[in-house]
Amino acid sequence: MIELAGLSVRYKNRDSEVLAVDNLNLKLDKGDICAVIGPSGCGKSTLLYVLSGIISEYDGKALIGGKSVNPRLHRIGLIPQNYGLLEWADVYSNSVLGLDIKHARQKSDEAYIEYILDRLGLARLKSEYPGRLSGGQRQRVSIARSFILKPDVLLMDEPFSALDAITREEIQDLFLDIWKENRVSTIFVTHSIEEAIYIGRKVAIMSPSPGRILKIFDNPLFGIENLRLADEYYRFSMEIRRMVKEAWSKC
Amino acid sequence: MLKINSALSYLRVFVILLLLWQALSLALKLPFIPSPADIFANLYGIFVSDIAAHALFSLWRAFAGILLSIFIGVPLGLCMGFYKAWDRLLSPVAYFVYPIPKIALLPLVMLIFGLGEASKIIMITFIIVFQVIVASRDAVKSIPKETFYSLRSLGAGNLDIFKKAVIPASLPGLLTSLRVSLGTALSVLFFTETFGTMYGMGYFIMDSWMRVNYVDMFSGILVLSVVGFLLFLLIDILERVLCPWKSK
Repeated sequence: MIELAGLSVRYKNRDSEVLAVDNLNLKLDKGDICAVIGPSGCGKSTLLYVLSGIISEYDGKALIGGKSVNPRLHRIGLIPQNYGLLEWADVYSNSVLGLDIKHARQKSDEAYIEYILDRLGLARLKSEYPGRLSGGQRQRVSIARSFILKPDVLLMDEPFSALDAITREEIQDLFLDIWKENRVSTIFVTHSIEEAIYIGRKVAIMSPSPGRILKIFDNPLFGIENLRLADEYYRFSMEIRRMVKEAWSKC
Repeated sequence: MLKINSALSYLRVFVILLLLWQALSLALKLPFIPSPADIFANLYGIFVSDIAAHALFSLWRAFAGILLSIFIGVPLGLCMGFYKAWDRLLSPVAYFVYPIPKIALLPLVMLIFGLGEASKIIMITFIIVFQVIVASRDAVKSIPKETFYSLRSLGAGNLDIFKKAVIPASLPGLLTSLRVSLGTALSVLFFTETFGTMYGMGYFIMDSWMRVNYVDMFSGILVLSVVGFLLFLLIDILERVLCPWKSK
């Protein structure tokens, strides 16, 4: 479904070139969810910007459903770090933005839109503006926008990093519940090893800059009920932490 | 309830100013500081027959200047904010021309456009348009890059981005720039109306002064102030209608 093959991205400054991503390879099946862990500045966001069509100059291949990434052709749900909401549009307009841009909103979509808004606790906030919402509510709007679009791929760039611990856990659970209903192919970038294990069915570890995938593995704990209460969750987090440190020390 | 409170506070300030004015007039007893009571009585007599026409002329010139500034300044400012090449090309021009005291160019404008309506409207436009350009450009530049990323990833083209982000984001800045430049624009309007016209509040006030009719002169000043106040109020109303996310 998602395929990155030999992907290299260079940022051009005035007199120099910076290699942000170097020969990166990643394959994700339809309906899979992959958490990507990496240090700051390793090119995690760059990876998402290539897949969302924002960066179009790169070497290698970036494919969605076997075709080169094209935001006009593909339905791409991107949740950036600050949520990317339009401050001048109310919750409803922000939520249906993707459908509106694609001129794809029909009367028959209304029930699904209402369902997603209701599921995310936004039904009563439809006419509110983002400036009046809490961080958690803003995050829900960006999730609503992505799911209402019924995307081919969902790309999340440290979406929960600005939230407090309790809200973060609530939204993680809510996100996973809705994700399980829709099974959208998702790449989820995070700094947090615990979050990667909680969200990702696959976990990919990136190298420090220039970014490459050092290791990718299936997460045996994915989907376990009440995972946060399980001892294995913390044991596995420690194991991954050791693995990440070891991998990065070799770079 | 909030609107009533706000109207009451405006009314309170207006009454206090009138009382201070009345006290000053009574204390100084100078012919060129008539009492507000005399002015209101005078306005009752001559507003419809005389001043209203002058006020309408001034309002038309102010409106025309503001609208022209918006039509020229907003597209330019938005393109400068959105396209780096436009910004590189036009920002130095704007920065170079912006600090020139525009009123000093009045003789040149009158030589080029004549003594009629055009030179008055162009002077107002000249004063407001740079503030509009800079405010519109800065408003676009202040949009977080993630907003553009979200739109691009959804397949938005430049037209969609202008419609969905650039234009709405620029509205509050545009209205603020109009509010800020309105006072200067009215001062210049007053000045330009003292040449080549027999209509407009500037003409009426200066004509009254030369006729040593201070009651008429103050009546004109009061009406010109009310015109300015109404324009301010109009911008506030526009902000509430066009930028509901600001007031909600």
